[in-house]
Amino acid sequence: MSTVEQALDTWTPPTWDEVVRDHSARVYRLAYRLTGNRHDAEDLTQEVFVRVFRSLSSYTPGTFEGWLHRITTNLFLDMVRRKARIRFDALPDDAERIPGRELSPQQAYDDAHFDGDVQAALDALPPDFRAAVVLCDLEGLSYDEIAATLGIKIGTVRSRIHRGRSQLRAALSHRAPAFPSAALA
Amino acid sequence: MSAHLGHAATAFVDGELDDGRRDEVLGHLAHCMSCRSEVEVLRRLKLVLRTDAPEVPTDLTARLIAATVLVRPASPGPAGRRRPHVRRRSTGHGRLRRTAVSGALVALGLGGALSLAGPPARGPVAPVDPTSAGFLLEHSATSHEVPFTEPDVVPASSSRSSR
Repeated sequence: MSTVEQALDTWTPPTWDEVVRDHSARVYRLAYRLTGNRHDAEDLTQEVFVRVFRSLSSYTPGTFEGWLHRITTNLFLDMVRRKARIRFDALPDDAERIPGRELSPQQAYDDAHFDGDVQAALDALPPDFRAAVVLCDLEGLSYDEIAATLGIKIGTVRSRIHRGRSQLRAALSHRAPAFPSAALA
Repeated sequence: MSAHLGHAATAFVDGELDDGRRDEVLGHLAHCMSCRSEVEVLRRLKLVLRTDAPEVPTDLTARLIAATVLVRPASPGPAGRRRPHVRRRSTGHGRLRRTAVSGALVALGLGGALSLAGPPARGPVAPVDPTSAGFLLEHSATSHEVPFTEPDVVPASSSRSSR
């Protein structure tokens, strides 16, 4: 029996509880950066874990994080597209949210007190740009990995990140001198 | 301004330049103050997303586990430690629970097709198109905005098999 076989023999898959415990914070942070608020971040995180659970049998060690990134960003972009379509088709122009989804006082407090301006600047980016920037800066993915995660060309990744950062910087220029607004490009 | 870094500054701070181009950029940075400060700003921008990270709710993991427990396949196994099915009624975590239930229904609805291990669903399982069923349920679950369908109505027969 080879060492690889022995390793496979003794390897036991993590329990579901372990999977959730190990990855929930990371998925949540990514979801928060993408959605911009705690409520949607929790919904998205839960949706990710439901997806993961349902297809857990196809999990192979080593690809799990990439898999999580893909599921999270794709669910997020789907969500954005659906909302945009619904808003366009069915809702009056000023209907940002259906009533009844109000935040609890705690959630409202959290949303207001955590670096609101950074998140607001992110929220102002087009969702496709936001996804690329967040995967790069928060998750530390390479352009290649981002291209694979989002299913886009590497040139598109380059330009989305470049333009996304320029917009972020402009939005954060009030934080000068940290982010002076002078642009070279 | 074409002599300045432009797009290359972004790729540079991301470590995405090949060796030759990176050497050129370093050479330029050695004598160009304005591009050095540009690179500095871009580095700070990258950092800010990481450092001002949002708080993770302390009960998040527990709630995710509680929510996905409804989706677990019935088979005992490493990932299948079963918990008694608790009858749910809207409580503090009503929203999470509702979403979980929708997820459970989706999973169970797909159960036949994916042959999730477990006892066969009682009665004939109506053939469903996973894509559209999944979409409808997930849509109302994630967005809560315009439920195209009433989640409780769709796979009522399969929901019984989860008990």
